[in-house]
Amino acid sequence: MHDLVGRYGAYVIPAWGISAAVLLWMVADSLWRARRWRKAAEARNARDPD
Amino acid sequence: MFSFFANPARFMALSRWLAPVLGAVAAVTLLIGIVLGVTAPGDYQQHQTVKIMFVHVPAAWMGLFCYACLAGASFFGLVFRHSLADAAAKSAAPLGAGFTALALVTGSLWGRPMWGTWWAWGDARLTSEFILFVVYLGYMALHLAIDDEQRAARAAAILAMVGVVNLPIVHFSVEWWNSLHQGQSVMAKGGPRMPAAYLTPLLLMTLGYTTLFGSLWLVRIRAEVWRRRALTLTRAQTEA
Repeated sequence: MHDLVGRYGAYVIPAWGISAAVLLWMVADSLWRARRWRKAAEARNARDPD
Repeated sequence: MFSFFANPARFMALSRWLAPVLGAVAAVTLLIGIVLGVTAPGDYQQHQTVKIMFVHVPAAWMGLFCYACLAGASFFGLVFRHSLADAAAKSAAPLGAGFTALALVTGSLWGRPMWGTWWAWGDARLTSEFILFVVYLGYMALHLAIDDEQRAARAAAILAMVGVVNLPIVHFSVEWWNSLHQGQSVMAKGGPRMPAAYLTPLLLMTLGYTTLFGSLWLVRIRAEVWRRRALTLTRAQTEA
């Protein structure tokens, strides 16, 4: 790891780590919302298909 | 073209396969970009902190790009009063805010070892980027603050239109004012001013971020369409 980030690990590693965390949060939150509201719409549609 | 895609049924059919395709492209390009970025050689001036650029620059670019998408959708929502345009604008905001926050944090982590400071209010690029983040937060807060969804969408769209003024300021701030930031280096006159060892991972990460945004934007618009459908059905069932 030291070869990859040298003496700047305290800055490089958090930058990549925070980026990965935020991107993963974006993916998880988007998929969770889509799943939640699709299920809600389908459930309400099933209650009253007309 | 707008009226073609503005049809919700057509949009749902198209986005159903387009979102995973864009997601797959994002996964592949990000994976290659990460490998090339992490193993890139240290720069003679920036040393290993140059690797922060591979996550900072695409995030900053996406902050602007997301806002352009948000503003474009807001414009169509205001002019054509189309609910899908409102849904598109609303769905772009949290993604744009996330990318802009990333640009600010990773830029700060790069600035500390290179400029000797985490932040400089006197720097036009930093300040205008921060204003962009605040406008995103304001846009989302406005949506939450007004109960009537149509009124909320209209008010937020007007704010989005006003915020467009900030986009050229962010982009050209390094040319218009003295700045700690360097000038254009990728879209410079006469071509990019950086070696392929840095340009390749930077472009791959930018493509990865862009396609990831495209995929997630579609997923979030779909979620918004379903949410509105669920609320409409609930209202109809309550009234019946």
